[in-house]
Amino acid sequence: MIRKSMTGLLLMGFVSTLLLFSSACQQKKVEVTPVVQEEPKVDDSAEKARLAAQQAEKDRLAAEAARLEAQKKAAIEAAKAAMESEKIYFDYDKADLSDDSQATLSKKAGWLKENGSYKLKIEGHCDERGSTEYNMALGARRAEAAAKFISAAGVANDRLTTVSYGEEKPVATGSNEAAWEQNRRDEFVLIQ
Amino acid sequence: MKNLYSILISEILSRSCKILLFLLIIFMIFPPITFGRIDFNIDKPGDRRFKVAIPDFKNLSTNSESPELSEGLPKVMANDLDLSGYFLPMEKKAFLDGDGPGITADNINFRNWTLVGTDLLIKGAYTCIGNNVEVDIRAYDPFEGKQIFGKRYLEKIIDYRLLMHRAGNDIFLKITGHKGIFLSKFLFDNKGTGNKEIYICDFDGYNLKKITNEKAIAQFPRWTPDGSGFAFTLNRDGHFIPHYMDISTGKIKRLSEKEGFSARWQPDGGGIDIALRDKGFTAIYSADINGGNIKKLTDSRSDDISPCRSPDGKKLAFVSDRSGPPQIYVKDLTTGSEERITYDFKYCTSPVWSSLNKIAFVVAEKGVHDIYTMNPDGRGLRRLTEGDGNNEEPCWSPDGRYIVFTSNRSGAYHLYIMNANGFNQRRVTFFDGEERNPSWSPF
Repeated sequence: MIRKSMTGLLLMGFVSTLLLFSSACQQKKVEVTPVVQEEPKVDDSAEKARLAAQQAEKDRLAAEAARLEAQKKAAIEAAKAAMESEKIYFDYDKADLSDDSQATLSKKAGWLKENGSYKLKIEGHCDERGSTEYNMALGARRAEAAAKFISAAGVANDRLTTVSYGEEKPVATGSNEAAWEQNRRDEFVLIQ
Repeated sequence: MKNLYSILISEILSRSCKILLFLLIIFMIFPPITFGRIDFNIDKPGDRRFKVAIPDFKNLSTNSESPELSEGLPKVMANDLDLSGYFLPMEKKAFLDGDGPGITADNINFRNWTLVGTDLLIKGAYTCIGNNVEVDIRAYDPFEGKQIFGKRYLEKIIDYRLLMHRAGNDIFLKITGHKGIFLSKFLFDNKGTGNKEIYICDFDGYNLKKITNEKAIAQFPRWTPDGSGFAFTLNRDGHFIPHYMDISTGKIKRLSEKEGFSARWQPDGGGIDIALRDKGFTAIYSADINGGNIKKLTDSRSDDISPCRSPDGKKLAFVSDRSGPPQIYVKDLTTGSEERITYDFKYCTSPVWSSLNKIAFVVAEKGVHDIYTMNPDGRGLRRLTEGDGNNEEPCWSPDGRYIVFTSNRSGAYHLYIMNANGFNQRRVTFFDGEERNPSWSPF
């Protein structure tokens, strides 16, 4: 067994050495001579400049259009984001809408009228003070006050839902006016 | 002139003799509950706290198993009696050691106990057999040198607190003639897991169990009068909806289709009162125990909330913002008349009507909340908490003798109890998160 495989290995070694030699000989044979051909000279620099200018103008217009499109998209996105991010705030134990709140709600009503496929969920929240039970109703009252305003501005009632979280979901922690005034709020969620 | 005086004096003397005789007869017919120096008056907690001595219990177990119970058993009872507000457990270092090895009267040197002013002496011995413990408990009046109570109790060793609460109740009943609160429990909500869930614990704050797993907002548990379950408010999707949970099965049932805030059982257990939101207002309704058959009780086109009945069920106290900030009103359900009963403060909420006909409620003044009581007609105002953080969400013990409430006097909100007159305010829960909205179980 061992002798047989030894002979095999020797044979393989011999054959591969032969192959190496032959390929080395072939490489030496190849010789390439480079040939250079000269093209006829034509003066077309004016045409080139014209085309370049044309292309530049095209590019500029496309970029401008893209920029405007992006700006428009961003504005739409921003308006949509503002629908959810812009909250309204209330005084202690009150569900009355301030002038600022009314302006914010008018904007939201306008947006909803332009974007008929969206519905709006309004969440009423309270600060931690006062009875937890009373605050559940106060939260509902705050949400309903906003819904009433938006509906009066011409948005169909069935596109508005109101919920209350009472004092259960504060955004600011701490037992001071700075935290309380952030927590007495309505939040808005878009639903498509 | 002199004669006139002597006539007058003899007249007064004969009258006072008559009064004395009358009082003597009264005492013979109605003897007050007194043991030695204990002249107990349930209506005056804090008047005088009776000094109770509970030395370490003797371990009679064959191999002295569970030695920790020697201190552990009396500790439970001393804490119970302390929390009741009527007793004051004495410091062990005040004890004069002169008693024999047994717990019977002939082993006790009563003079040593009267010398340090002991009004009530409680002795105990226990034997552990396997998983069980048997405890022999006796109470003595050291001034009379007499045993006034003696009983044996058997319980699993792990439930030794339960055994001692039971024994504490027996002794309290024997001495005061009134049922003790030591086996009662509290339901409350806590947000420790990140979500408000309902929990239960013993009246002394031990044995905590979480009993809802809603991962939403579960709050305001309110026991049924028979203790089989409780109503609570559940908010899964932004709407607060009254629900009911059966304690033994853990099954939950919805009590209302509409949004509603405060479901509370009527005192006879026959129905519930509930505040439901409808068309921009909250009104109070009565319903059957399944939330069906609803009937409107108030109609003010404002927010009427937090209903609670008088003990006879004929009157209803509630909160309304019909006149501006919330105030407390009482409606006579027979005549239909409604009367505002709070006028002294700007913001009054959370009325609870005791079985002894007192209304406790919360006043918010300058951003601080405190608990007051008054009679149902608005008279007899009494302030129970003052200058100690916020104190809110009062709930009466079913016997009307105690109030459990929440306070943030130590930082976060935890449960505290006090006597009906505000005496002996004591923190009873020490859990993570905040304990809110407690409800006191029937007992």
